[in-house]
Amino acid sequence: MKRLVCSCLWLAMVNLCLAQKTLPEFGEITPEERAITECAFDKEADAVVIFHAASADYDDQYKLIESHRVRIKILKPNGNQYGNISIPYRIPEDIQYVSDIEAYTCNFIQNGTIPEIKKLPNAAIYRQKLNERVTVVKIAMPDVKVGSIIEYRYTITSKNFHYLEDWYFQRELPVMHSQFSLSIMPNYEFAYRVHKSEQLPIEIKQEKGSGKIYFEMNNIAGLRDEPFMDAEKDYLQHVQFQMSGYQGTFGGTTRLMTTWDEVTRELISNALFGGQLNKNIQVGEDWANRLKAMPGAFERMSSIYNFVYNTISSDGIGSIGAVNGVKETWEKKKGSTGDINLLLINLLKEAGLEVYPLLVSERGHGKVNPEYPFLDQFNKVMAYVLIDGKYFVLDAAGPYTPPFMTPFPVINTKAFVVNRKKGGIITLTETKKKDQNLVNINARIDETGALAGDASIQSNEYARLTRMRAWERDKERFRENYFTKYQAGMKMDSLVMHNLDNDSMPLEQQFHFSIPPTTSGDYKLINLNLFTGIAKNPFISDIRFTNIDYGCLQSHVVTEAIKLPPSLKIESLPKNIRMIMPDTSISFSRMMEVKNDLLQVRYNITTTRSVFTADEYENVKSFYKKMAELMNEQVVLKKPD
Amino acid sequence: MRKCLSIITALCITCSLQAQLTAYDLSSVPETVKKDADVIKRYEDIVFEVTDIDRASYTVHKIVTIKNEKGKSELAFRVPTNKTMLLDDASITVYDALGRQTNRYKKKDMQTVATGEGLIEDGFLTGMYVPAAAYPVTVEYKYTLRFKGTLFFPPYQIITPGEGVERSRFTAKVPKDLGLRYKEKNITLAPQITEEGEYRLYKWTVSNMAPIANEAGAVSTESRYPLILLAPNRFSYYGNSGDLTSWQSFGEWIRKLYTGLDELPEDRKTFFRNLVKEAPTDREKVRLIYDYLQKNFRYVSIQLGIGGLKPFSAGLTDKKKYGDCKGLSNYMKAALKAVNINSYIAIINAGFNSEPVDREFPANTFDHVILCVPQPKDSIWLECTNPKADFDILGSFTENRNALLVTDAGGVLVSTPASTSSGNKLITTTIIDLGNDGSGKTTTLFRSNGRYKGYLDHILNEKKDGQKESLVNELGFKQPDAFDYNKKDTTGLFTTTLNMTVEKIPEFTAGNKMFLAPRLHKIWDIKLPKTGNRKLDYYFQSPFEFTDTTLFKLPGGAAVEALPKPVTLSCPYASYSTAYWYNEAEKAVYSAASLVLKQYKIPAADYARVKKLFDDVQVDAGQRIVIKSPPAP
Repeated sequence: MKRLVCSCLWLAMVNLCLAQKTLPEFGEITPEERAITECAFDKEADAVVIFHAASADYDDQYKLIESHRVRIKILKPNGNQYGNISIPYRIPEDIQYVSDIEAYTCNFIQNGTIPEIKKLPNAAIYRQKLNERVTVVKIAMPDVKVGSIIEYRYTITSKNFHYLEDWYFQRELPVMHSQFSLSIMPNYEFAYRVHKSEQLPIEIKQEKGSGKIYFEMNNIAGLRDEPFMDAEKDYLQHVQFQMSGYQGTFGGTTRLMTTWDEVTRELISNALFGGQLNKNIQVGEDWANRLKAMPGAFERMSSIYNFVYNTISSDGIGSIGAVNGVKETWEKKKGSTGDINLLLINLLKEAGLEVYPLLVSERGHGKVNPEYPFLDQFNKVMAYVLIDGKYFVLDAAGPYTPPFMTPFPVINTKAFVVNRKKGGIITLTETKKKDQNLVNINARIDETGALAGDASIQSNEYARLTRMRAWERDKERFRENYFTKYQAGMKMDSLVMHNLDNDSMPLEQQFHFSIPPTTSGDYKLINLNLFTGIAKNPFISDIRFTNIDYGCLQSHVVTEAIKLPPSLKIESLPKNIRMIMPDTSISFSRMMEVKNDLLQVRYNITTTRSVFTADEYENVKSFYKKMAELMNEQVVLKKPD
Repeated sequence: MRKCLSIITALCITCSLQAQLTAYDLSSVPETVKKDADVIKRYEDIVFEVTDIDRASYTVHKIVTIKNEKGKSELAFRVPTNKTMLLDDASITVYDALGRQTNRYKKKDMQTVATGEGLIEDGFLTGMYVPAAAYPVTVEYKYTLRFKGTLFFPPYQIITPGEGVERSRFTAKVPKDLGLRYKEKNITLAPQITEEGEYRLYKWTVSNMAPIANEAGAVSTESRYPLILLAPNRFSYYGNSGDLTSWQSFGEWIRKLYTGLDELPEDRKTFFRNLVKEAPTDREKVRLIYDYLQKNFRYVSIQLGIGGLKPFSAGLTDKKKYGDCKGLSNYMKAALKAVNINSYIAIINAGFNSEPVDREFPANTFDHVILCVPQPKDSIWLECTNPKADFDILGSFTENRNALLVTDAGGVLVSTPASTSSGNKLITTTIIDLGNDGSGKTTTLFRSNGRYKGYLDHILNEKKDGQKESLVNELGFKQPDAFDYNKKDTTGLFTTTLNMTVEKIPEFTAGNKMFLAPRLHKIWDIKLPKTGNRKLDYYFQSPFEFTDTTLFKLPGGAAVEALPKPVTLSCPYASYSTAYWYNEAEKAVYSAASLVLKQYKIPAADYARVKKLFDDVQVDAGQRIVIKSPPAP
């Protein structure tokens, strides 16, 4: 009975709150909306979201009920695609369901003055089951063209508040107005966290005592993809929610995950996480004996990692906790990322190693803020092993990484060690191991200006991993991408790869190559920019919104010894030069020296920092542009007159 | 106790299987079969059984050994399913190199995901990725598909790229009164035909086939690897029965699906009559209506059930202003009908490297619909799905093959026009105002048609950053500091202009000399696949004609020190020529180039010559114009 009264009260308040921002009625188009022909704050936009408004509420069964309204105007022919709408939801039906779908297209007829509304018939709403977990409502709006306004609304009902999603004010299209109002069930507490740029104002209205809260942002430009970008989520204006507590029937509040300690407690007691950590996995006596025979802890760890990596495959599902459970994963030899790494932790533990689960957020997933104990800041669990005061991070459910290296996707991130005593937030960095290539060329130029010789390239650490993967994927493309693309007409006659099976050695690539002569009048031009990794400036765009994140530090050294023919003399030689960013974060140098008939060349490109903020973009871009120019300067030879 | 028993039986079965599988050791496989193979099909037994005109089943038992990482696609088990094709049962058993069973999966271990490129489709893929700890690994697949409807008969895919075949057998079992037709492709292999009561059995058997090398840039694999095509004589599809023994009868069946759908409401008919009333010829009328269609309708693919072959009515399409290839072609047909112009739906197989369908073997291997408007002389062909397509020009997507026209007298197989290089032109003219410091202001005029019109128009609709990326990364222009790219209204060729400000025009400067590339963009920047000993024809996307004129206006006092050598290269399929001269009066260096590909399909025997020519074009782009700057004042 008490609950019902509560609901009524709440409803009354909801009505009050909606007065905060009045939107035009469904189907009522304002003269201002009719007049829009471009988005004032994002002039190139193909379409603009006039508004997206949603309110989240609950019913007497404490189901989560969200009502959405979206109004979009098409501005350019490419914007027609936004007339195709997808609304995904979880299945089965008792988990989530989308209902009350209504939509229309409005076009302006008679010289664009009279709005004509075409309602979407129910028969044109399709539901497509995507897989066992997701169904998508699909709508193709009728008569969509430049100048059309489309609007749709729907209700999404979820089993409970666990399905409350974060609210994104920003998206691919620019948004003129975005609002979200949330009514929290009585006896429940939610924590929220706003992510937004300092320049953009946000309006947050909270009603004291009611748990009702309203968020609004206006005029937000669209976000686009950029090279070397980290997680999109880190730049999108959004507000994040997490349940933080509830009151028991007899009073008293149970706190949930409002501190990292509570997160730990919650995880340890969870059957799909903590409950999976001490499953006695039967690997067999052979295996146990072999492990026992290994003297060092590092050796044991490596061999367990390699074993799990090689034996268990991913079923394509990413999860923090277990999905099928570690036992089934072991039996079926496949599981989710959580299953695989929790199994890895089990085996490491059984081998007597000090190991804890490590919650990580890969760079593509987003940054972790240590001040907020929110679980959905993470996207994966890895194994965190301590041996003699040194830590190792192992991921058996990702691309292969030798156990002594930190997996590339988690460098420069914060992670959370799950353990009551030794747990907490840690920072994963990598300053010693780099993306490192050492190129050594011995060649000679003949009288025609043709260049031929041998190259030996050592790719170490992260460069080794990248090239190993590229090599395994496609050997033909490997030759093209790393070698022959540097010069049209280049021929490679052999390619020998060394240390393919030895993790701790650089991957060595040896080959013989030849380049046909390039002649202009009496001049022979020699390109020395070979296999350096820099041929083009990767940064073309004029503006940049997101950080540039290379993941790890770079070091590329190219040394060349080139024998010159007696019949040609050097007409001009690129200058010796050194270029460095004001803060020494990127440096480039080129040295050329001629001794008798031997031209010695050395290029060196080094970074001391792997992350650059959007503010630094202009500097980084011009540095790369200049560097590409310098790299492409050629040696000019000429027959003596 | 019961549980105990079942464990014991399970153990026994495992033992017997193990015993059997020791025979799967690779040493028994002939060297020729395994030498260049990534995957070896050890054993295959497929039975395709037609029960009656509405029902059929397809049962597969196959054992493959995957030798290395390159064969791992064989570990991805995926079966397409939809309302007419159901996966009844499936099991996968995995064996290690010693023939020991390491794992076993059932249908419940698999996942089902929606598939298809369209907005709305009812197709799924069911399957899983089979984990393999190490290579070689042997996997045994067993599954049965149940078909409701008999329009599609699965082919016997004998061998696939990277695969060697030890033993394989395919049996087609059909009621005698229905029968079937078959055709061998890229192989000579006769079936053994027997009878069994009411059924006739066709049995094909192969053994010890060596892998066939895959070559990049060839016609699609299904058109060049050995296989046996199967087709029904009579069929049923969503309850609509038809006859596939001739193109005529199949076209008749399609005609019935389209019947009554090409009628527009009276007011819309009047609209179209008004639209074309001033047009002097039928050709002009068609052009006007096609233009209206392209401007007002968008492509949305909805393929549900019979809707995969049957379009929405023209009336419905008119209301929604969208449709898929069938819907839009049918709408165009209805609009033409309103102005008394007759046209035919044309069913076709799309894709630039698709082979024309076999005239001698009627079967449903189509996936696209266009429209043909018969004329006293050449017919008008309309691609109704692409709002940017040229009027009466088919792209390489549908050119050079056979289309099935749906006429009142049933189906008629006709050839679509052959692609021409003059239908795919790109003419560029660039003027560069070169400064003393190497900086420059440039203007490029692009005039194009066909493929290149489509591409240049696509860039026009991109955002500024996207435009810059296309210009720099795809067309190979220098990175500009500022630029604008716009459409120019002209008659004839599609025309766009590019104005740029570039900090450094020269590739590099040495002393007082500037070394300039012969043109501001790359006329050809694709490396063709290696020659080896090519056995298959090579397919370009289309034939083409590129012409470039670049004009460098030199700064005051500058002089030409060297011009690149002119080049003329030619072979029966392509030609390339360049010329360079200095115009004293204009103080300008002219650089002219032309690159023509006469046909898009290059016979294997001639490929090496064509590749050599295109490689030489890339090397030739490394030549430099050398300009001497005036001495500093």
